[in-house]
Amino acid sequence: MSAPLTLLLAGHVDHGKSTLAAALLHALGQMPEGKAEAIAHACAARDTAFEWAFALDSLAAERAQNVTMDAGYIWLTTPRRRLRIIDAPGHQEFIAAMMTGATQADAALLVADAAEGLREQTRRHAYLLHMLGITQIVIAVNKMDAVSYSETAFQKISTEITRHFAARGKPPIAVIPISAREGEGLGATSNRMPWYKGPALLAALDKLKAPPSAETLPLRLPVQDVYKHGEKRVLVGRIESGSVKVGDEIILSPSQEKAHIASIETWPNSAAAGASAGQSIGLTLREDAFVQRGMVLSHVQHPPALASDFSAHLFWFGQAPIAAGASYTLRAGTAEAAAKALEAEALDDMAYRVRFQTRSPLPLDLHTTQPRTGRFVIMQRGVPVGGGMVERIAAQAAALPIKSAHITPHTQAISIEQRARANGHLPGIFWFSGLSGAGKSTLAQALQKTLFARGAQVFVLDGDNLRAGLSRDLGFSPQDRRENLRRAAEVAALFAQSGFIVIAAFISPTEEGRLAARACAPDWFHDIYIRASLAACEQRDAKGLYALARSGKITEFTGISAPFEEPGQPDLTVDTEAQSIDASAAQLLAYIERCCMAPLQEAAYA
Amino acid sequence: MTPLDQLEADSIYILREAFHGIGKLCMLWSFGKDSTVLVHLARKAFLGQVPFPLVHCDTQLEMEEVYAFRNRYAQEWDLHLLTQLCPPLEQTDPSLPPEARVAARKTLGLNQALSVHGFTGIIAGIRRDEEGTRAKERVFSPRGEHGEWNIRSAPSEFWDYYTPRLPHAAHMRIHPLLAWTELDIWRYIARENLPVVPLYFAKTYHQFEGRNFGGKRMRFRSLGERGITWPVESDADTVEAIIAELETTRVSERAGRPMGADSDASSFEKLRQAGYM
Repeated sequence: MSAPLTLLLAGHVDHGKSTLAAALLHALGQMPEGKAEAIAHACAARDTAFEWAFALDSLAAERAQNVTMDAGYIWLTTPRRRLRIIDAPGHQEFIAAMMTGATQADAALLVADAAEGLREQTRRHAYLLHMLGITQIVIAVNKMDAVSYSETAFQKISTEITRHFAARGKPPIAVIPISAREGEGLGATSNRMPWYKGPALLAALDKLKAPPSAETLPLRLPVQDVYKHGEKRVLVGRIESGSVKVGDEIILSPSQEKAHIASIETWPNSAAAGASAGQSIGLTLREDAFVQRGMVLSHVQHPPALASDFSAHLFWFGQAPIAAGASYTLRAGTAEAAAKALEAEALDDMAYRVRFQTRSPLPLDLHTTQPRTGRFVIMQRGVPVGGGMVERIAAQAAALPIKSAHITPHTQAISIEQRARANGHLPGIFWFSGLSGAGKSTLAQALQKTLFARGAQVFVLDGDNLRAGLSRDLGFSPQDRRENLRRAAEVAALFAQSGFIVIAAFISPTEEGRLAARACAPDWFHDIYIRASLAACEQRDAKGLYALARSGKITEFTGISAPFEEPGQPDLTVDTEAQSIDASAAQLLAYIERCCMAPLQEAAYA
Repeated sequence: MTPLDQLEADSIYILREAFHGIGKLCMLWSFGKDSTVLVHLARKAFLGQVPFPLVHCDTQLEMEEVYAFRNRYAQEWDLHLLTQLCPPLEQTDPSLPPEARVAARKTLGLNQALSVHGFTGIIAGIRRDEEGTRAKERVFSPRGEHGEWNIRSAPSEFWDYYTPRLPHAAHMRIHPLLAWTELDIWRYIARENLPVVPLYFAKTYHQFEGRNFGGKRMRFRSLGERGITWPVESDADTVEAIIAELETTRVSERAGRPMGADSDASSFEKLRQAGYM
């Protein structure tokens, strides 16, 4: 016996799929005892003629309307193999149920009515099978009895179907005239159609090939879960392709951490030495690597792509058409990711080509090379409403220019690089120093709005929000002002570690204070001098503080009763006296984009 | 990989998806061949220790041998077994045939177990080849407020992407054995050397539960409650003989459990819509 095969029965509604499935059972002598009597009974109860399809259309609603609503399964044993037959609904309303069946199939038997030929759902099913990569297709031209077993009628449809398939690049394996109801052309060639020289239906089905094993492809093991088993941490999952053995060096995607296989855990027998495609396994790693569901384990030489920009051919039964700019949740293997449709081309009301951008990179393959890890489903309101086959993955992002790792404590499970890819920008601390009234807060808030609107993670730290809580215990003595700045710099560093663009607006009157702030996060720190002369600031005096300071009601006021040291070598000077606030904001925005956004875009196209 | 290897691996995958995605999980154990295979698969999936309770909906009408099997293996396999007594027959839908009403007690027991323990997922050992409405089931199949099944609301299952949580589902039924056939079950029992209740093996029946079988060789194809489940004629008295029998038989697996099916097969559908396995 050959390996079992799963065969989808597809085609337009009422072209006789369920009847054919029952007729095949009957032809092979495998209709359960008493089934025919039970069907006769059910038909009599409904006052209808004997209906073979009731053998599969088991639901009362299906029988009442004589239409298949959900995919049903039956098993047949031919002389060569076991066949698992999925009887899919042919009505357009139940197309999602049809695809639920189609995505399980190795091959398809497409049924077409001899009198009607190719109809809308016949074409649609043919198209969807092609999209799924199901290329082994047998066509049954059914209800030949209704056209008096006419060779001309058959030839007309056969030519039409063969042309339709050839246009897509893959002709059907066979086109066979049958009558399911009369049992003609199923098990043996029909003597009512002596003009037909090809194989009977079951003989053609026996020639279908089992799907190729994925064992010779590169290793892909999507991590399903991590179990604590005694002292061990066991990663569990199913090997989708390739094979793995104890001692292999592996790499985890997308974290890119490398490790070695310490053991393969099985029960009740003790550990195995290796495992291959199709097996559900547990394994332990020699190193203490961070692993979680959604990661893909592969060999170091052949990892999956880290896709954050990719295109797919997809089927879609969601509520609204797929629109460029809309966001969706994708599931690929055990990973889940938010994705935005960058471009969407509707090929049909249920088929699209879509270019997606994910917020974080998704381990993916091309569907043509690694089918099982080259596809995904699309969720809407928590329910799967579509699926895609990956056709193109934009060049992988190069390593990000992260200068040193010393500000990331190793206790963080998510690296700065991972956060940067998820956010679409590097973190940064833009430390605005300058006199009161120079425009620091105004510029900080304007930039925050602009950056936020562009999807950036951004936050403004200033005297107001810091002194309201964290520095509530501090006054304005030189020591307290120094301590306040120290706390501000540490908070800014934490924000930067969490991936944020921080705009810190503090007068920061001394060079020593600014240097100390830089030391908290030297890789991300930008010393920005918001310059305006004392005279200009005093003239603006939006808060009336200069007047109070001049009258002595405020003491230790920078510029009046306390010194301000101009930055010696700031990273950027923004002169709000020489240019408008808008021009200053534009100058700062360009600078922040250059520091935080550009390196990621460059890496993506490297 | 053999076909059995593949079935085993996919069932383990499903069990692990359920365990990851569902908060409060349990597994139904009726001590029949299917649910015993299921328990074995769960032990494999979780490396020897089943991490959720097993639930027995007890009508107190199981056969002696079934209770003996339960008592032995619950302890031997170190399982956390919860026994839920089923409400009496009077509380079932009186429009059902008498046999189906006995089965409906299981549904009521299951609903009680759900409300007492707050389970959000129930793993059950049904198979598509058993019966027409089960042939249309999903691997992850949502149930409504009162355990009811509405096939029109079943979510799509593309490839093996399952949906363990649904906004409108009161609980989820998980069916790891859906793709298995009766023959697969017995081949797996043989391969893994699993114990089964001895009633599955043929012996001579004279009297059984008040019926006269006149000394025929018979066995149980499927185990159910006393009074609604009967042996069928068979000579198969070993696992190997059962496999040989199933390779050729055309007798339906549920032939010994009519459930009023001779009136109209839809009584089983009614049972299932109301929440029966």
